[in-house]
Amino acid sequence: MKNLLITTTILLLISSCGRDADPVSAPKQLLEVSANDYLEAEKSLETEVREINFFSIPNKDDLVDFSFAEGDSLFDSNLDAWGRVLSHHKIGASFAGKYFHKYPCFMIKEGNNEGKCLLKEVEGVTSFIPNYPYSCEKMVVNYGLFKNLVNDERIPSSFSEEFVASSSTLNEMINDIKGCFNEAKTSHMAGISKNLSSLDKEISFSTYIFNIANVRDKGWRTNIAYLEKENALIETLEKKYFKNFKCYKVRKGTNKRKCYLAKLSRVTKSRPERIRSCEDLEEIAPKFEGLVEDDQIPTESRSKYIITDSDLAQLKDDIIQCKKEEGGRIKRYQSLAHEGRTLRDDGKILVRELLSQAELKSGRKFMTTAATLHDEDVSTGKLSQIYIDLNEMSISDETRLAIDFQTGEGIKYYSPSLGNMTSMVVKRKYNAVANYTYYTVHFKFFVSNGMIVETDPTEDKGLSFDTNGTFGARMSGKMLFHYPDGSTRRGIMKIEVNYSN
Amino acid sequence: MNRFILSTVLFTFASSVFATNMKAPISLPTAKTLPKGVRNINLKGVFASASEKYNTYGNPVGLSDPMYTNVTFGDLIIGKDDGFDKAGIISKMQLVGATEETILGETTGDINVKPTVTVPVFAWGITNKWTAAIAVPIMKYSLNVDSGIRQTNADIYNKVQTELMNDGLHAEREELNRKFAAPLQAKVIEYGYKPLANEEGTKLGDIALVNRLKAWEDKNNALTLTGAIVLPTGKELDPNKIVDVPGGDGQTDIVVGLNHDFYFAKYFTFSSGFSYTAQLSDTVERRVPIQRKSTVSKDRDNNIDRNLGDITTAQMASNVNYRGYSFGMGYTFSYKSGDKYTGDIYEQTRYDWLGKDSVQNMQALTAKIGYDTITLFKEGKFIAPLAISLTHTRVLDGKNMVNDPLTVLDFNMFF
Repeated sequence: MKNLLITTTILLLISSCGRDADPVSAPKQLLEVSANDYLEAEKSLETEVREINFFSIPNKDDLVDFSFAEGDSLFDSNLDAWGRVLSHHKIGASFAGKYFHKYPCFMIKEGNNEGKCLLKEVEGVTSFIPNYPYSCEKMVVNYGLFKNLVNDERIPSSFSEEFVASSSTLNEMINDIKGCFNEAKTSHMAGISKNLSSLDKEISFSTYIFNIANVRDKGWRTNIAYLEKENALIETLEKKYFKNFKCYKVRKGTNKRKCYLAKLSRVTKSRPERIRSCEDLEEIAPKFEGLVEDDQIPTESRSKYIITDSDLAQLKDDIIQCKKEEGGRIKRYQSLAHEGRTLRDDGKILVRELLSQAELKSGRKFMTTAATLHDEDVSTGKLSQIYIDLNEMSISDETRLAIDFQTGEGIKYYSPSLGNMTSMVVKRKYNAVANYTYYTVHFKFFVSNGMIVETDPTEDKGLSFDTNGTFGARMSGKMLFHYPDGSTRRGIMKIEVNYSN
Repeated sequence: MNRFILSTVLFTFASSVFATNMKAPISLPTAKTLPKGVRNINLKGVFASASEKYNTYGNPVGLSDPMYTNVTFGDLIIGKDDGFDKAGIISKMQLVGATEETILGETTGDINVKPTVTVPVFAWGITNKWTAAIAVPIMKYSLNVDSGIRQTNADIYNKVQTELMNDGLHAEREELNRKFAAPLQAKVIEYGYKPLANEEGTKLGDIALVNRLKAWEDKNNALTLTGAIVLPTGKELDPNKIVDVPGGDGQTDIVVGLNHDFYFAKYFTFSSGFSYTAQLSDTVERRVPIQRKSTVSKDRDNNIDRNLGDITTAQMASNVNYRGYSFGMGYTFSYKSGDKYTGDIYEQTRYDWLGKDSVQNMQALTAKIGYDTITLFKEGKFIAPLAISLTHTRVLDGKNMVNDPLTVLDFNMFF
């Protein structure tokens, strides 16, 4: 019996002992994350805020009765803005992406094909900016402009297939025009259909806002980039050509309206004519020619004021070289910079259009207006000011943001020093894996009607703080709008400040 | 002597090695009952592991196979709570020229479970033809689990990074990097699951009450009918755990069976068995999947009607026993029909996903060696009738079935 008990005990022990599972390790492969320096601490910033974009976004409850189609009559006043923005809004699935973006028309400016369209830009021959059709009817019109082009030596023959619509492209265009009309009948235009669920409307609405904001930022980057290119080119040309011959316009005497090479007291203007292009140089060249004797110039100093024949020949040669080197680039850069700027403004207009329509349908206010350098409030003379110390990474409580929350009081200052806003707290965060530091900014507004607007506290995000050569300093991210009725909407805020020179 | 191995068969109805799933057999079929007045205490130690299984196509895969899924932009969108967050991702997706189907990477995982089930069984011969028994499984387990990601789409990933950087959205970029470096852990936090972690523990299994009735017997044959009820005493699957080792399946089973022994020689027995397990429907709480490929979800429903599929099992075996030394081999085929879930809060399709890959089948081979003192006891050479055996089972083929081998150490005492 004793043996039996021992055996039973041993077996009980064996069978009741747990065993450890083998260690496991799931395969992992992480892509490299670039470590960026987000802070240009050696620079300083203006105190005037360049721009504030700040609004809440309607949720599904606000959008129950909301609908629109891109290019709808609802937005008649801004059809051009829609067209421009959507031409940069390359969403393949949308109606616009499917038909309208497929055939950009770069209009030929002169020659036998003047007014006709190419599919790609040819420098100096076509417009810089394409014209997209934003209706099926406009596609028909553009189709005619792609057809029957005559030979033009300025269109590179090796790329002619890319530039000139071939017969197969034209056939495809016809099919697309048919498709466009067919689909337009069934209201497949991009937009927010009234038949969508409220949640889908919320998703679509927010997606439009985000996409337009992307286009808007792209416009701004384009603007800055081409202005920089223009300045760099002008600087190069100036060193080589513009500074060689200064034109001091003669104000009186026998050579009135002509140019002297140097300032002559009481005879010429005190400052030389501004030369910013080869055309400017070309324009002033004749003004150095045909000068007659001027008794206002001391004889011994004649060569200081009157150009010599050899220098005149040099100037004319410079003009030829300058134009050759410049190759129309300045105008092109200016155009593209302007296009970028327009795009940025378009984006702002469209966001306000969408929000104002949603306000009308829901009775809730979504927009805010801020007085900034970009959107100065002339009537009140108010301007948003922010005091950022990049070395300390701190924001002074003297900061005051001039904002209208649509409470009926107009633009008001919000500042920690006024008590209607908390201090703007900058938090430093560190990513140990990728070894980079980034900053977020956290604050709250207390609006007089009881609304509280704050940076996203739940996800501990705040606004991302960023500095770079294009934008200067920027704080951007998500916000929460707590309305007086107890409901909350998500929103977006962006504050931009220029570097000081 | 052979009639004393009833408790081994009882365990087939009682144990719950991996609850809710069909189990690999841990014994050979038999039609034995206890003589009137004889009691039997049986102690089983079931040593199993779980690292591999047959998938729904019958191919062997790791137990963590469901953790290997492609992560697409669509997954990022579908997992978000509100339109605003979804729109943020859709916008970035469109900006970088991706679609909802664009694959960003693949989640990975590794799971290893070592359960050891101890099953004390008490059986009693009420009459010569009627034996009743109760089995109480207790499971000790050790679970190791890990999850990871293979980020594969460098092109799109870098484009998204660049766009976020261009917009100065470093907090968003940081969140993306953090979540995408450990997507499953991120979901665990976001959806309120318990942290994915290694664990050890002891759990009570589903207690079984068994009755066996000898319907017919002659010199060469015995035929028994078995009826059992498996009670939902084991702790059920925790809906707040992504990986769990439940003690039971939370519902009651009714088991009916038929066993036949054919004694075709003095030391040889050929046995066969058939059983049908009806898993009664009940109401459970579960997370309701958002998509078919993953059961991870934020959406709960605590009033889901569940009907687990019924199980049909057929077994045959031959056994030789010479003066207490025994050796047996058996073959088992089992089939379980699919589980059905219905609920009212979400679309029925989502409830259907709870029952995906729940049709099971299995073919298994079982070998057993043992020794008992019954012959010696009868001859007065040993003080008590005891039996000890070692059973080993291998799953040869199957669907949705763990295929790791199973070993059972079995000790019997009769009094």
